[in-house]
Amino acid sequence: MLTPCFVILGNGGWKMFTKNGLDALFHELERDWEESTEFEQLSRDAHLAIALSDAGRPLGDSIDQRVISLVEKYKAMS
Amino acid sequence: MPKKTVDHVVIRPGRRYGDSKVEIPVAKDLTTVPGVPIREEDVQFYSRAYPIESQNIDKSADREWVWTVYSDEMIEYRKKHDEHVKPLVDAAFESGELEPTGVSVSGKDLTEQILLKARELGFNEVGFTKFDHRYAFTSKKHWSKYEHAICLALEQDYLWTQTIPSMEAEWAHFGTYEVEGALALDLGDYVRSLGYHAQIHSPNDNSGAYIPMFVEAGLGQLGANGQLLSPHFGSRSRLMLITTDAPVTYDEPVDYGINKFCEVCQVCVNRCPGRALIRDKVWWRGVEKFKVIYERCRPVMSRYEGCAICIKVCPIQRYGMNSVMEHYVETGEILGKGTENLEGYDFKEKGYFPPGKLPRFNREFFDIPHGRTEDWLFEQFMEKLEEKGSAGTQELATFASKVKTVLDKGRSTRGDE
Repeated sequence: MLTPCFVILGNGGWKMFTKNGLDALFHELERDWEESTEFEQLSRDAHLAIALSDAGRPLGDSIDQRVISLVEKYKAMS
Repeated sequence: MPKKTVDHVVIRPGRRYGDSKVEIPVAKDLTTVPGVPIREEDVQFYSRAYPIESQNIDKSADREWVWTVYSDEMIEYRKKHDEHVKPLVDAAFESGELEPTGVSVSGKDLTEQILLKARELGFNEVGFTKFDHRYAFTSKKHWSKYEHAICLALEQDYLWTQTIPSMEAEWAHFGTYEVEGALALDLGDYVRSLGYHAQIHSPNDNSGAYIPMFVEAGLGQLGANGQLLSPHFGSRSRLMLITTDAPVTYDEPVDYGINKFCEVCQVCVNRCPGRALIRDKVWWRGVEKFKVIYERCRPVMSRYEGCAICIKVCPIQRYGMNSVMEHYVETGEILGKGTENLEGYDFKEKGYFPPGKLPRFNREFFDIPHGRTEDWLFEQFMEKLEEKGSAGTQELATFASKVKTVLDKGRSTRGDE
């Protein structure tokens, strides 16, 4: 059974990451990119993307596409 | 359609040397004053009547006590760190006496040259202001020799900082001091090569309270967590000064909107495990600021690897000031506030604390030695006298011996960082 990665806000309509979702997202990020020199920037992007996603806002152009895919993946799992 | 009207836009250099400039929109309802609300006459009064002193002296009782509650790993690391920085601290202490190695060009302003060199060396924030003796420690009142202060901030590791509280975060914290202590010696050499003096104020042997000078130099504003919030990393940086007689142009304080932002945000206040942060600002020694309750902070940070939850959960630290302020202008909300990712944290054996939940500690947890070591010894001795009615010869001798040890050791601003 999949663990929920988001919760639905009562008044906003969009979904926010749960701890399980965050753990899964960062686990995958770490597994795939920890050895890369880009890891720090990807992590910075991930934190910002999660915050924007939690706020129901578009992720913008400055965030790395790999991070956007991850955020969308875990969003889709909800 | 943005929810807020922009009052002004602050433009700052990029985080690293060579990075593009950033633009920080400051909403009208966050606009207060450049720097910090201040009553100059009160600052004068308090600095004269009640000058500040290093916590390494004024709080020496708990500075010694922390070693009794540190984990074995922490003790080992701190000892290595202290050994590692000792030569840097020694070199910095004497640096003000060194003569220039180059020949100065009369009247030439060196602001840009020093700024560029500092950025090349790796400092992320560099600013210039007057060394404000009102914020110098009593024990170092006459130590600082030169008029101008070069304010320097070095960012600490982003990834390790997000693991707060942890040993990794402590490596980031103390490790950054080690690096910047060495970089500052290089920058001092450079200033001397330009024909002027440079005195390094080691970050492991501070000469005063630096944040007011950083605010005056426009490098940030004081946050609700009691720390400098600078544009790129909030309080995820380590601060130090170099004073010099080189001709430089002072920077101006800036209104980044932080004075008001922290009143609205309050994430650090809500998430502080020790409940050491307060909701409202107070006027303190002539400055309107959020005042940290030391006695609520210290017992937690000592036992929980530096704690620093207030750094970790600050949205400015996590996302950068431009993202946070843009979000505020667009939505009228605080980016990340109330979310698991920003506010949730693991707190060692106490487990995970989501937004809205805090660790609990019993009253005895906060009962730690306070004040100077000699005052603490005397207080304990008085308590014994009250309890027993008198003191034996052996007890008197033990008390005297402990006080003598303190006297022999002397008072030093060194250590702790």
